[in-house]
Amino acid sequence: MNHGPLIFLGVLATFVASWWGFVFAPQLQIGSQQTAQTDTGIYPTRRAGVALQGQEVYVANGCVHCHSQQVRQEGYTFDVVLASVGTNAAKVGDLLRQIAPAVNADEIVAKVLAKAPQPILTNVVQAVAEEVQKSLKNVGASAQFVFIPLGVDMARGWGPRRTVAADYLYDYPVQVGNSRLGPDLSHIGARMPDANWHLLHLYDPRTVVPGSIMPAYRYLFETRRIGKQPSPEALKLSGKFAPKDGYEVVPTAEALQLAAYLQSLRVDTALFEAPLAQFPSVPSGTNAPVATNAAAANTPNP
Amino acid sequence: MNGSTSSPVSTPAVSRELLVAQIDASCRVLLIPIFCALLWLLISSVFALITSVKLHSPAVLANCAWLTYGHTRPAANDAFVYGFASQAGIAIMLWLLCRLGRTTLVGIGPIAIASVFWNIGVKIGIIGILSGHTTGFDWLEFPRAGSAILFGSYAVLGVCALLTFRARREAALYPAQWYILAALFWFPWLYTTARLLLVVAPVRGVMQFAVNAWFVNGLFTLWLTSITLAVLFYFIPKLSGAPLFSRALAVLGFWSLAAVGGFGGFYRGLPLPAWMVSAGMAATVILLVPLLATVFNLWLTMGARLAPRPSLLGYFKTSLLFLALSGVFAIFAAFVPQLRLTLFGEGLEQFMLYGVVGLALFGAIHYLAPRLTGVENDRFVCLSGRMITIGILIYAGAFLVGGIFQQHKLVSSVPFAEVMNSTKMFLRLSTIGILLLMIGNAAILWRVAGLLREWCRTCCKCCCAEEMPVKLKPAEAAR
Repeated sequence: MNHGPLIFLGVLATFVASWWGFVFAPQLQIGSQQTAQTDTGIYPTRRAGVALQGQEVYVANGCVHCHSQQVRQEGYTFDVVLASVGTNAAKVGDLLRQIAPAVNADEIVAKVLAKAPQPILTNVVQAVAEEVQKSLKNVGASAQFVFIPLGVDMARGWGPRRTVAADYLYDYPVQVGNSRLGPDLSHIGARMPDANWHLLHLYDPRTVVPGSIMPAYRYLFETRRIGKQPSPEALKLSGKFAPKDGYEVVPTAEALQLAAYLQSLRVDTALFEAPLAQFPSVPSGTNAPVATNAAAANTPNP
Repeated sequence: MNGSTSSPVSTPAVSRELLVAQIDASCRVLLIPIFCALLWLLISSVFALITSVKLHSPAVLANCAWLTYGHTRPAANDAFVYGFASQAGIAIMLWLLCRLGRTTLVGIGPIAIASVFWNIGVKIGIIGILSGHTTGFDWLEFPRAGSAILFGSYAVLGVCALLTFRARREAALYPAQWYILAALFWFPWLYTTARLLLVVAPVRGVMQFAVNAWFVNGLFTLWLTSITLAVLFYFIPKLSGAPLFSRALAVLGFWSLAAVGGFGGFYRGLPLPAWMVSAGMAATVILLVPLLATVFNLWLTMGARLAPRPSLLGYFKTSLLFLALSGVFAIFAAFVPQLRLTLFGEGLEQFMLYGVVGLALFGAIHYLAPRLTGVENDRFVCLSGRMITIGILIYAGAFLVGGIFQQHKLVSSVPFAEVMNSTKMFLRLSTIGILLLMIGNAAILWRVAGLLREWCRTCCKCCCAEEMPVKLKPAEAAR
């Protein structure tokens, strides 16, 4: 190891290997990913103009230093739903008593006959779900199983499914994030759909989340003297957060853009590689339409 | 004195001493980057203090857009890495190249100019971050102008370093030189690739995150670690007065780091192909090989010997110990679910920056500064070392332990606001830690500033008395 050129070549080779492995190869695999046709249309789509401007505000203020945008899945399980009983209800009832002793078989059969699919097994592995589906098919009934992603993030309600590469296709810069000093924001648009909530939260997080450690972004708002009429955009603040008498707090364009961006963040489109956790259950006693298509779409291809 | 650990000494003692003095004199220009680096270090710790206070008292400075949390945190990090660690690291590597190659510094003028421009680049970058003109990518936040200037000045410094390396009179290479040579190439390759693929001609979608994570991993594992190891491989044998324990282990450590150091940086749950995550986590584990090889090698080199200057060797000893610990923490963070996104991740980064890279560089600066200025005093060496060691243990320790608490609460059903509030005690503790770090940083800066002042005074005296210091002809010195 006494030759500079030898070290140079070795260093070059190892660097190229790392670049090849972690930059070039994934670029070939996912770098040219395109939008996909889903049940609900083309996904993903570009954000609307205001939300796109809001992303710039999000980046400029370094929101990524506290908020991630990644929903992580740590495992999965299946639920089995009885969709139809077929012609031999008695036999199906017998079978149900065998395979799912925990449920009331007669009640379930009656409900399914009334066109309301019923869960019969929850939290089972794929093999069990498939076996149950097969044996029900043998007696003329039909069952579907629902893919349930599991993980701390889903349990916290931060998203109905894990985030995948497709979710970030149109983002620049992608703000996946490395820190969760605040909650994950992948799905905040669906969790908190109200723009007013976002504006209040940005003005002072303590107005809507007591004890929050998020800093206030008052510089995105303007406190001004009320003119002839109060502004319709003025925030409705009360108590210690309210401005002085005769003054109102109005969001600036940046605050509105940021709120629009936050509202646009959602990951509730079912994708082939990331099915939704949505359960096709129907409240008992109603005659709601059967969500068979959704359930079928959620069943991964074996 | 010079290079005694790497090769047998053949030159007569007197002229060797003279040569060392001449080398150090040629390296005086490095006082510019070293002093500026220490200024950035202090600025970084001021930003880190603001960041830390904001975590538990969000109302502090909340109405100042420039000082919001999302600005001060990257400003503190980038000021540390680009302002302090990289700048001081390059300066120390240049000096090491001179000492180990027994040659004088090549390109003194260009180095002085490039150092000034480097600082202009960092300044533009930090102002860009504070005014909201960040690129939005981790550790690459500097806006275009800042990073372009930074890279231009790096090119000059890198070329001067390579010319110095070429001009060496000692053909045999010492492990510190391997790391320096590798680092000199790794940094520009990593930086340009990442800037090119993220800012100039951005890749699509989640590939941006992949490139960013690849860069951050390289920045820590290849660039900053190489600087640290170059320093440790030089100073630990030198200060403990013993030859390197095993050259074979050093070879193993170097090549295994080169082979797997560029991988890693990915953890479970990322929206990336699963093989990347698996490969990244495997690389994190395999990194134990270079880590153990290097730590054992250097630790056994120190042996049970009593060092002549225990206070200075302490810096490198602690840095080595922290290096071993950080490897364990990194594996822990990669495998415990959710831990990477908690305060633990932040703690790990700060631990590596201050505890491993910082301590090694501080020790080197304490050694260099009196030799470059020719002024002897040991003020603050012990104080800053103690402050920084205790400070980083409290600062990073609070984040690491707080992160584990946070992870425990996150996986339970405790509401999120409560999760964060339960970590407040640790966040307050981290403020105490950063305060101690600031005192330590200020002490180093004060010492170096004092040495510079003293040196200027002597120079002035010499000039006034027209007693210029005797200059040696290179041929005479080489004899």
